[in-house]
Amino acid sequence: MTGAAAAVPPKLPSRIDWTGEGWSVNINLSGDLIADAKVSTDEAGFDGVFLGTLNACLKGMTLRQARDHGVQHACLNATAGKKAPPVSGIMMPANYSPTSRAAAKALRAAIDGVLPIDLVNWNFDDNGLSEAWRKLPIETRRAKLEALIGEFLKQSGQNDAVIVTDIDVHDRVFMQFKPDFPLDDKPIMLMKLERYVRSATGERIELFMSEMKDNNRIRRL
Amino acid sequence: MTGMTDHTELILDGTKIAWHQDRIKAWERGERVAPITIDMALTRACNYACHYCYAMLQENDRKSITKQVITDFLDDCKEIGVKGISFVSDGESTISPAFVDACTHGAKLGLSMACGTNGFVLTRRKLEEVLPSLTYLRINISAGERDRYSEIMGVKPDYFDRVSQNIRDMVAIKRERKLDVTIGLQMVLMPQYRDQIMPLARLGKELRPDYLVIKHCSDNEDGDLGVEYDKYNELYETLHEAEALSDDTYKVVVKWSKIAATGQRSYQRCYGAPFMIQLSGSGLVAPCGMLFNERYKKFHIGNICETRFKDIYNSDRYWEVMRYLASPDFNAQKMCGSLCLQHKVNEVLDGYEKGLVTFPDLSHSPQPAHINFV
Repeated sequence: MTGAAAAVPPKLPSRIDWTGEGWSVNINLSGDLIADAKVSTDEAGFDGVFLGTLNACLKGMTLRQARDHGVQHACLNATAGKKAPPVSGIMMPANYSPTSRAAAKALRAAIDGVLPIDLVNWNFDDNGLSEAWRKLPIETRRAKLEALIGEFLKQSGQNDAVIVTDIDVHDRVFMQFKPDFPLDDKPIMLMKLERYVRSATGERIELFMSEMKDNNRIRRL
Repeated sequence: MTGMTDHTELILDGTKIAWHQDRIKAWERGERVAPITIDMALTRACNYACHYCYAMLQENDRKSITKQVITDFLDDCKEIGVKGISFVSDGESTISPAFVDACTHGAKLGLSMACGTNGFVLTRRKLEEVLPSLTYLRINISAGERDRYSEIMGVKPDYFDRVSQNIRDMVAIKRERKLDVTIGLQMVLMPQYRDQIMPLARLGKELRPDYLVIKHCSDNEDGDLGVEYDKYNELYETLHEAEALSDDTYKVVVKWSKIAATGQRSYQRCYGAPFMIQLSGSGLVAPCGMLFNERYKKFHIGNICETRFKDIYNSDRYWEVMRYLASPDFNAQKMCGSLCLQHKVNEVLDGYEKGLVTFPDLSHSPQPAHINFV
């Protein structure tokens, strides 16, 4: 429900080249977006594969997104498909690895050097649904989503476990489980299903159960 | 911006998370950290029908929190390192038969206990029992006049008289027994209740609780309660006038940081949930009250009526949900309602993660009141 605050667009350079503490950051911008980026280091012991993932993630981001969320996206992508995350708690650039920690620091220093921090107007970039997805006719989008949900259920041997009750204008999918579906399994099933749909579409599709209403103004005792 | 140092004594418009830096460091290292504060209710039921009630949007499968369930829960909280439990959340906890026992048992364990209530059933006898166990007792009262109280809070006008008397009694008991408990009033302000700001501030001055806090009304992401955030700025003058009624022992505090935010969030990740989770009066464990409704089933972690809380906390499922909220899979600006309980903590932790906030060394600073309610 929240939207972007009215921002005065900052004047951006077309290229950023930054070096410091053994790290380099080279970014080419195309308009507001990063056309390509290279976060690198000559120092030994850092994870080149992770830096490759990071550089791929930064492409297409705004500088602000790159600064605030770029390394987070790389950490998430780097763990995709792995059974367990590298930490038992909350994974962040600060704890994913020494490489993610140092890369985040370098990237922030590079971007802060050309783009003043603006706490009021920043942070409203959103990677929800892409333009390409939105441009598809709603019937096509619905058909794709229903097909993917059906595919997932079939693969899990739960063909008729869920009924799609609505897909709204924001592509939020509302579902209902069959009455005898185990209560405790519902949250896990929904989260897995959402991951499957997101992974297949590349879009941040959200899955919900149908809303439960309480029509009593004074809630029953 | 962070609200960390807005007040040094009683922080009502800000967060005390900076006084828990050991837990923040553990979180930053990727360790599993126990919540500092848990906000919960002992029941989903309520004897009021407030017009602004967010709990109407939070319906989920109901189960009953018995005395045994809450006793086990509090024991588990103590064991894993929770520090404060507030009975606010999505039901009127004072009408639960387990209420008094829950407060006294939690306090005996050394947990800080608190309660937000409409105050209707808290008559003198019950207050005598429960007040010594509480860190704070906050009465939800969104009008200062009998008839408007009846309209806004959905009850008969004479409920106003009874609640006013109960407030007088709790203030008297606190004074007579020299209790540490903080007694507060809270107005949930919708722009259309502007006529009640001054009557309530004056009523507070007469009844003499420690404070009156005036806060915004939260709404869900679809705006179902119809809160008009752009109209709050028309109330600023009246709100300042109400604040001016403060004196040495009665504070009128406006939650400016949230009211002025006009429903917007500066952050996308929800880092606050592991530090401050919420339980529904149905026993449901969820990261946040805004995710209680059955529609948010994918965020539902477990139920204390069926599983011990320490097992829920230690489960992979608990941490899977917490990780989801802290990851780029989630955007609180787009996927949440407005101005949640964790909002101020989220602001600070998000700034800290981005290297924009540093925590001051508070080891030699006096601790604020209610430190375990972040």
